[in-house]
Amino acid sequence: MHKLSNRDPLDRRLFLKTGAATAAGLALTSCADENPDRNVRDKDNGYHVVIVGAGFAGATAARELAAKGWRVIVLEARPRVGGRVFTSQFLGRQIELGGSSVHWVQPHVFAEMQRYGFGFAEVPLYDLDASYIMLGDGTVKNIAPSTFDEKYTSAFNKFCADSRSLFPKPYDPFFNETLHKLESISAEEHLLSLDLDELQIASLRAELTLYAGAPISEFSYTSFVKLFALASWDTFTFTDSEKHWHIDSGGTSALVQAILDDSRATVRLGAVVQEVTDHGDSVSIKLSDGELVTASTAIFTLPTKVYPDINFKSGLSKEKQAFIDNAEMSDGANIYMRTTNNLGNTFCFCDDPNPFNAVQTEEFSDETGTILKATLGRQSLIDLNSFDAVAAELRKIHPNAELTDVAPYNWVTDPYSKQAWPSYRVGWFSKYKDMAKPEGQLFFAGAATADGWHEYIDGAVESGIRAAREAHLRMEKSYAG
Amino acid sequence: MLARSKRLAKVSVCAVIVAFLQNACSRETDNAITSINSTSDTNTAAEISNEDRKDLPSDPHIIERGRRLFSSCGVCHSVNTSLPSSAGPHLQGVLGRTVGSVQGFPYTSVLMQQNGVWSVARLDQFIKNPREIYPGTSMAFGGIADESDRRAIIAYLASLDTD
Ligand SMILES: Cc1cc2nc3c(=O)[nH]c(=O)nc-3n(C[C@H](O)[C@H](O)[C@H](O)COP(=O)(O)OP(=O)(O)OC[C@H]3O[C@@H](n4cnc5c(N)ncnc54)[C@H](O)[C@@H]3O)c2cc1C
Repeated sequence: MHKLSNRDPLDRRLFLKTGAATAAGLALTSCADENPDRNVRDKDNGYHVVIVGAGFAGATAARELAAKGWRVIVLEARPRVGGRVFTSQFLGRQIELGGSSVHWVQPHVFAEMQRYGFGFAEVPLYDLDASYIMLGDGTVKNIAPSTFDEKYTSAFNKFCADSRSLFPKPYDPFFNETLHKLESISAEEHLLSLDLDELQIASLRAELTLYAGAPISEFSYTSFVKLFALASWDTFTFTDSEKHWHIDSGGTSALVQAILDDSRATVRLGAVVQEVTDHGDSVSIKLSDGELVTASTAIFTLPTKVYPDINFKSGLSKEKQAFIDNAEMSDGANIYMRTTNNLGNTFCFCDDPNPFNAVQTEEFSDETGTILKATLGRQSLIDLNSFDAVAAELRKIHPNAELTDVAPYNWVTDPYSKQAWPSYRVGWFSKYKDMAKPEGQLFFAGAATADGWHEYIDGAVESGIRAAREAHLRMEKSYAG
Repeated sequence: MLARSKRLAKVSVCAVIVAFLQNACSRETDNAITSINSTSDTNTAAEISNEDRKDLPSDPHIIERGRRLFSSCGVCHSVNTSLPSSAGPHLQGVLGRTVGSVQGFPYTSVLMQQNGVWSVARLDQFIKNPREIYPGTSMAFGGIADESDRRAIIAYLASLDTD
């Protein structure tokens, strides 16, 4: 059987020839040198910038730099774009297996939605029919939704009570210098210092475990409170921003694709970067099949835990290496489930160490049954690929659930993320700037390097804009000189 | 949305009927999956397919279970060539297909360099632990530990070929 080389340039011409069905499936864009309406700065056919990773950070950086006339190539290891966002299908419905919730208080992603004409799709979070809290020992409490709301909101307010004074300028998180003194306080320590009842502790610990992707004794307390400050220091807005609104018409993956299409950068899929050499005036990047790609500068947008898989020939600064080795820990995953019975509009928080930290109804009717989404802070507590284990876990909350279909995505076993969302280990929040800092001709983006919504899509976009600005200024200077 | 669900339902009903008919005229076996080495890379696709298929379960209940279990795989893989997914190659007719050979799919070099054919044994090992058999594959999947679950999925995929 003929094998198409994955080095065959799948450019716009092939893209058109292969027809609409393939076009919908294979995300490819054309070359910047075919770009008639941009002032490509020189005609030597070399790339000015190589961007590693086609997630939100990489796509944004590509668009920003191509708009300034630089010739850009994006190298993406996976066969698809989007990185830690992945819009897929489950029983004919659009689902988000990675980053999903967005909000208008997240300025960067909201601007991208506006720019490319995407709206919000609502998830039925309010007007619950039933709400539950599972305690750490697995006991499930069925709590009236109004009581659930009251207890959780007051616990959340207490947890974040100091957010205004700690983060008067959330985008400049260490503006208040006392923050450095709180660096060693874990979310667990802070939680237990508050006057909360058993249900409040269980529900809040479930929420915090989701953000930590780890036991919350390892999780930086202040890094979470910063996120709350970004949501205008308001609990309702925070919850609304994290669990209520998705992106409509094609979802997160379509938005990343729209940004990449706009960049008209060359996008190479299945291109696994293995080795990086900074020659001072250029950077060469070796792919897993031995091919070399060379450019003046490079922007890396990798999930922090993936950096050790790449050989940076001249090494990275010891500060950056320390961040890579220590700062991140998210063991998270998502799973969609369908039950034949209509369980209604439900929400459940499960305290650590139960694997499903939040289980939320996404759709319910007598005809469909129920589509539920569970988010796990610690996927290693369960085998998500075991149908029986998943069914048993769900039945702890909904004893009558007749599970028929599941769609999990395990970001930790995915070799190109090895972790879920970014989250800072206690003691490492203030070090994110080390990760963001340029080194020679190498620039660094990715949600974990964001000043603002670092656990979110918004942080990825923010970081892409910042790294693109840094690379642009550097290249302007060197091309002028 | 509804149209897609109906299509899925139709596919599974067909699969069940076909499997049922197969069951009526072939011996139901539940052999453990044979070693990957038993199907040499030099065998033709057709040989591998025929040799392998007869050992797969054909009980309609198992195939239906395979269809359900496949929903985990379905987030990245389509079984319909006209509705491809960007995240994984389509799996229509995967048994007997050369590894890494769906045209236009951007495989990583690891799978591109393989010459073998997807036999039942090879698929089973891949689904069990993708990175053990092909280190460097970008398949973002930890693997299915339960052998009967893997067999059900493979039986479901095989049933689509006879649809
Ligand atoms: C389960 C889950 C739920 C989440 N929920 C939300 C949410 O509700 N709302 C929200 O805003 N955010 C959420 N997030 C976080 C959000 O998805 C991420 O912060 C964001 O997508 C990160 O984007 P990025 O561009 O920084 O990194 P990535 O998207 O990870 O991009 C990095 C890219 O680099 C590629 N790559 C890796 N290694 C190599 C290599 N060797 N060579 C070439 N390319 C390589 C990767 O394939 C990837 O495409 C969630 C994340 C997960 C996993």
